[in-house]
Amino acid sequence: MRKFGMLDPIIHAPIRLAILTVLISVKSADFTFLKEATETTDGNLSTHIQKLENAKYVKVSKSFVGKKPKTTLSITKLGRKAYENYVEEFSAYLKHTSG
Amino acid sequence: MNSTQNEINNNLNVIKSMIEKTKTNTAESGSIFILWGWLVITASVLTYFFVCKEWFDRIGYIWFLLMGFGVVATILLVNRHVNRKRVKTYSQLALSNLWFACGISFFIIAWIGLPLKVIPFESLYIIMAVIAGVGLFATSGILDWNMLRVSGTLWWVAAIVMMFIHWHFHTLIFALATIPGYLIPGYALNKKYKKNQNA
Repeated sequence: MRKFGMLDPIIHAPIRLAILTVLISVKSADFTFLKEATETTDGNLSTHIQKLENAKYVKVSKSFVGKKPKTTLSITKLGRKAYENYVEEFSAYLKHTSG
Repeated sequence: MNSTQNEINNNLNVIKSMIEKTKTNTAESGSIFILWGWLVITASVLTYFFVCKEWFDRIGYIWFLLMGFGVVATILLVNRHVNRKRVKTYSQLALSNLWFACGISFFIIAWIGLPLKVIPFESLYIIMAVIAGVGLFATSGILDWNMLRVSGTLWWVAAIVMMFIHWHFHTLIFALATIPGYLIPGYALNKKYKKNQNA
């Protein structure tokens, strides 16, 4: 029997799941876009990004547009694989509970 | 069990909501279609006028000036777009590569093939229309938008029509094909983009 708790804990937190769901469908997204999409604060978003970066699930690049700093994120191969596994496990669990 | 079920529902909602937000924030503005649509119509109508007046030596200048302006304006628009854009999608990457390839094809045909007389003037607009059809048809697949499939097909129809009429009128057919081929999709994309921005 599948256990819901066995899902990847790094992805399982709603904000981190939200970040990876955005990043899986785009080439890259900047910090402001993710902040608006996840409807969270700068600090909270940074903490979750840090966790994803430590797990090597996302790549963070910093640049300047004019004089403004810009943080851009993209998903890594490892992150993509982990997200795919998460969705697979999640779907299997849904099937198990509904059937 | 209840809290687990809540977690599942919550995470499902997170996935759905993020997919929706990403989708509505990555629409294309259509400004490049509009820019090139008007430039091509202007250059084609002027070419027809110059052909009627038999000012053949001036035709190259019109295209050189208008297309040069188009390239510079496109570079500026793309740069502004890239700086403003907060998200870069795979479809944008595919589109920029596709239209860059079409642009290079237009350049090889019109600015190398034509002066070297390898491509005759009689075939120029037919080849350009075929390439534009490929660009529009492929774009329709990338953006999943059937209207562009019709636009692409109309470019190919225009190419076939040009094969049956005198080359003097090719530029007029080309200008006509630009309306459904570039302008209408450009303005439709722009309307959709503005609607998404205001949502």
